[in-house]
Amino acid sequence: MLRVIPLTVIVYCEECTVARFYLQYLREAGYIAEKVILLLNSEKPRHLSWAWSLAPRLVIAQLRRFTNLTARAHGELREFIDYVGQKFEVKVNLTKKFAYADYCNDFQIEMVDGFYDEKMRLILERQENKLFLYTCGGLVKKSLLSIPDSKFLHIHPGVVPDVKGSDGFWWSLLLKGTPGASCFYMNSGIDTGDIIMTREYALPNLALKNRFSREVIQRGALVAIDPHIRAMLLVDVVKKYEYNLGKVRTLAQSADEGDYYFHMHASLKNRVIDANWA
Amino acid sequence: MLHRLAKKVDVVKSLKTHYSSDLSRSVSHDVISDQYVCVLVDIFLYSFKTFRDFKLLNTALKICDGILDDGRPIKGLDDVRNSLDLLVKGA
Repeated sequence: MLRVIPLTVIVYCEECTVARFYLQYLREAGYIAEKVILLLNSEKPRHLSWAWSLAPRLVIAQLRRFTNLTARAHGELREFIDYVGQKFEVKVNLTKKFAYADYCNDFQIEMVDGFYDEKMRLILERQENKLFLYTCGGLVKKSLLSIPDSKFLHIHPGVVPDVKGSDGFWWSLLLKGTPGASCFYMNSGIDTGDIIMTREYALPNLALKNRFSREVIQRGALVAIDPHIRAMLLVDVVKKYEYNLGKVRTLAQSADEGDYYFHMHASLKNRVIDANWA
Repeated sequence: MLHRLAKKVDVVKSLKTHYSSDLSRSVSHDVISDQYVCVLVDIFLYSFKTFRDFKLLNTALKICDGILDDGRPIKGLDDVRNSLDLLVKGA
């Protein structure tokens, strides 16, 4: 019997890898989400935008999904995903359509013009349960964070406050030798929210260096390795707090504590690959 | 100070000749000369060698790749690029 946890999961784009990991891990731990909102991105591509204006919005959203899934479903990236997938206990479908409705009690699909579409506030405001699990990247607009009675849970790939900002997975491996993650309620700062839990996790033995090109390892790690770490933390948080997820006693961060990191240069990523995945 | 300059490189992708005292905003539209870019990269490398500051090494690598001002060519970076490669491998 699956237990329904009081979470409204925001999934931006059907192909979102992180959301798939979260939902699969939760399900295997015996949980489903109260609700999943799937936001299909029907924003017109920037090139030839005049031509795209003739296409129905749903077609644009489906084309985007098809393109992104196809890139993962073939070639070296697919081999990488399959190889890494074998090394973890929980198997996640990253290459085909995902049955989101099987992972929640209630399922809603909406079409938006990018994540910063004004419509987003309306969609989220109308939700009965406003404890949201944010599964996307980037910043959440203040207009969303200020929705009355709302809270946004986020799992950041890195232990805050030491590793805030971009490429947390890579920086954690470079600086600490092991990946970690942090779960917090989001605020308007970058990874400065009140902390619910932080944890480091050991990776299985991955002999990637001689099997795959560096480009594929760099790309694939964020698709097929990093989300495992974040999903493991989510499950640990859910197991600990279950129905009290919205009122956890948190640890506040001070803004000047720890360090921010920017996108990691490919040469440093290669150094991480050599050190960890030979 | 160095981290604030690194942030200018990573976020703004440009370094101006003059900033306010806390470096929060630029007070000039002129970009710094190639010579100063090279000096800054040298300082970043020194900081990495001395303090193992990977963040500054990361920014130095990006400068050598042409992150500044839409990839404007910067004279004098070739020598630094070689020592950067060695540093990354041996880091």
